Amino acid sequence: MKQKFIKALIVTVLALSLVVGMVTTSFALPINNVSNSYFYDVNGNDASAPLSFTVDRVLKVSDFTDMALTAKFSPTDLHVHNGYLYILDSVNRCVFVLDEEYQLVTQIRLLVGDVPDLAIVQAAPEEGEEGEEGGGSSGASSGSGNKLEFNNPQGIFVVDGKEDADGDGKLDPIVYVSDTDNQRIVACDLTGKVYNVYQSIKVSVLGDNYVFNPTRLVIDNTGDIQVICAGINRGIMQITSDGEFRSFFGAPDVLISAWERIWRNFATEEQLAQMVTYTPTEYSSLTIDDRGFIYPTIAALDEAAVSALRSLSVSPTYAPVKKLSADGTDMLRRKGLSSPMGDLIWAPSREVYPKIVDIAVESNSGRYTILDQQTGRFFTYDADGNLLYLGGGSGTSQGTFQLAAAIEINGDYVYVSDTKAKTVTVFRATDYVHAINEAAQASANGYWEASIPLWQEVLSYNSNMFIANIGLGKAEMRLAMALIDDQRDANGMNALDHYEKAIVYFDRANEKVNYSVAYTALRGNELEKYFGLIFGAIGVLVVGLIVLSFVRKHLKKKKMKPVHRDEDRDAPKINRAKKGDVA
Amino acid sequence: MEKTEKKSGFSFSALFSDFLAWLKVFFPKFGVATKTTFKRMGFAFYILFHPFDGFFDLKNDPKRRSVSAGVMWLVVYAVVDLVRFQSLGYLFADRGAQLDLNVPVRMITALLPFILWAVANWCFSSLMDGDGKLSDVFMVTAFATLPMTICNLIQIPLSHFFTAAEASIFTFIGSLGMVWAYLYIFLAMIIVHQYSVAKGLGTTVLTIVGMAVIAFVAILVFFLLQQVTSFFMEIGTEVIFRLNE
Repeated sequence: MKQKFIKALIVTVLALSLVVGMVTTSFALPINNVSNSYFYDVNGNDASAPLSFTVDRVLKVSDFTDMALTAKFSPTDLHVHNGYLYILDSVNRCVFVLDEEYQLVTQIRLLVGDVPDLAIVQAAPEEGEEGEEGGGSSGASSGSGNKLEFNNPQGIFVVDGKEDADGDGKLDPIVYVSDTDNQRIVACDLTGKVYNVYQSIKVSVLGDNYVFNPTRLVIDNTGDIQVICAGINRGIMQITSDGEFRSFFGAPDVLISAWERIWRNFATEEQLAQMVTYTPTEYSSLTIDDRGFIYPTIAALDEAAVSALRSLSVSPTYAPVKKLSADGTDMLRRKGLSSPMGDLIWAPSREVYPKIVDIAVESNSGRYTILDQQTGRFFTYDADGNLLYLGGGSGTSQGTFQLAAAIEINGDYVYVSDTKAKTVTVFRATDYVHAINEAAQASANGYWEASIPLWQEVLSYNSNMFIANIGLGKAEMRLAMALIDDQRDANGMNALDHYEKAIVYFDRANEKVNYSVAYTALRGNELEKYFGLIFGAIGVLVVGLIVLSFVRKHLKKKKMKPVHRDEDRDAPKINRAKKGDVA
Repeated sequence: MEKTEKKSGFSFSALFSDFLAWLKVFFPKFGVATKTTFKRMGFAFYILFHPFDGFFDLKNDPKRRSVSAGVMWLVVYAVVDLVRFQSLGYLFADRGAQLDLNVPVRMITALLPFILWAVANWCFSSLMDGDGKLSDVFMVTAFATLPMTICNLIQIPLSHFFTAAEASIFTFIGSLGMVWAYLYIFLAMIIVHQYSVAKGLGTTVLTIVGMAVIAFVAILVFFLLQQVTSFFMEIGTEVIFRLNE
């Protein structure tokens, strides 16, 4: 009875202690309504930051065309080449080419030259073979098939051609357009003169009844076309300049949760049929840098990826942005607070997650900007995957988007197209962002000494900008490594002084790996200084302990002897007592 | 003038001496008890290298046995855990968590597993012919945390001297303390209840299940209490609204 009472008492006490220990968990609000001048500090909390971008101008279709064109405008893709801005309009079925002043240079509407007939493949398998033959199937594809026009084009890429026909000192560009609904890729010049048409690409692994629906594309240095195809989840399709299918590469991983895997083992055939089939997700967009690395993005994240990214996982498995080398391995560095994915703090709803629809890369410093359709924001990362700054937003005011579709960067300018608001917005970087770009570029190219004042300028704008502290720390460390022994540089600083400075910067940026490197150097020096003292002390200690143990043993033996004798004879005991008295 | 008068009217030292005098009246043996508690805490160092004899004596020798010393060891463990958490060297510390420190929560979460273990273990051992009382289990568990306390203490200076390359040594020391302490908690349990090893293992499994059950019930009670209080609060607001109409 009493025991029961005690047990009940204990349970109550435990419950009460839990009450005391309970912390109210507060959910951080998603930053949807806050102004866009924010940033994530070293602890991953949102902190205010200077304004990153100002709206330079908003391009509407009426700005650069006559009104004969309707107000319809759907800028599905953008490209910047030699200062010219190429806007691909899928509704008006044309490419607008604008110069540096955003004046219309030309528009590509009708193709001229030797254009082969459309080879539209029907979805039905028996018609597929006929379609691939190419002969006269344009008639079958009711109405949409004018071989001289684009039909719902989704991707554009521009490269330098081989000749300079107009004599302006620049090579004439070749415009590659993914003519999606016509199931072909067209390469033409600015007048619409066709160089090449890629259609009826034969892919043995896909069988006869696949439909070639190219969307976003890039051209690599060898002239190969790397294209994303709608409805094909084997990765990026590589097509040679001759129009031969080469291979698929860089397919996204299939993600199945462990629970799902176990569950599937016990499910019946009927249940399996009802379950979601797991296939790799498709890429939403891609871009290429000067060194040939391809940056694909994933917009449709599955549940496992969403929960992993929500908890700021940096695992490449769940990453919505990749950097693929020629053999398809992911080379992207993810050293930041999270995998490059946009906002760190998300809305609590499970359905709301970043939809990365496009990416643009600045080859010189390796920084890249991703566009999140969900929030309408674009985020710029350095080559290490640190978030540098962000801009844009969701809404109907200037500088915000309803359905952001494509992004392109050109120096300090950022172009973002919006297919719902029917605009292309030109952002200009503020001095703050300009300073970050300069500093990041100096660091990336190894101009360590020059990067120090640049990073300090960034810090003067925004002291929360911990990337600047990392940059400063790395610069100081490089300066230290360049000095030998007690050599002093122009400022009278030796290597240790530089390390001391670096350690302070890394501490501020919470950059433990580099902190440890700098600290190792400093500690090594301290150890060297006090080497003799430390080891002398240890030696003395060891010798002292050994001597002490010997002495104690000896004393014990001496003590033991009298005790033994104690039982037999009395004399030694008296002797000892006397000694004790004297002491 | 007024201010100084007020100051002399209230002094902490006077309050403290009053408190001591009050203690002496109501707990005349307070000083002696504290002294013996501290003396008996020292037996934990003997147990460190003589667990079998040590835990047996701790339970059965009235000159060694001291539940209050056990409480003190748990307090020491919690304090050392807290100090370690806040004063680790930069490379080994979690900056963000340090800024969010909540002292009572941190201390309770450090101690709760041991207290839960003692309670759950006693619940099951009373069903499985264990010899130990609740106070026995609690006391030996508390004494067995000493290795963890020591290793945590050693980690503090080392963390200020180690680089990331030596992190494995650092974590080794931490896990050494943990394994040592958990092993001693197990041994202590066997010795206190006079179990065989097999029976001890079985009781351990049951105890862990019991810990989970107790935690579940506690959380359940907490949420029910919350419901009840919110119910009465709502009635209160309703009544106030009606009266104000």
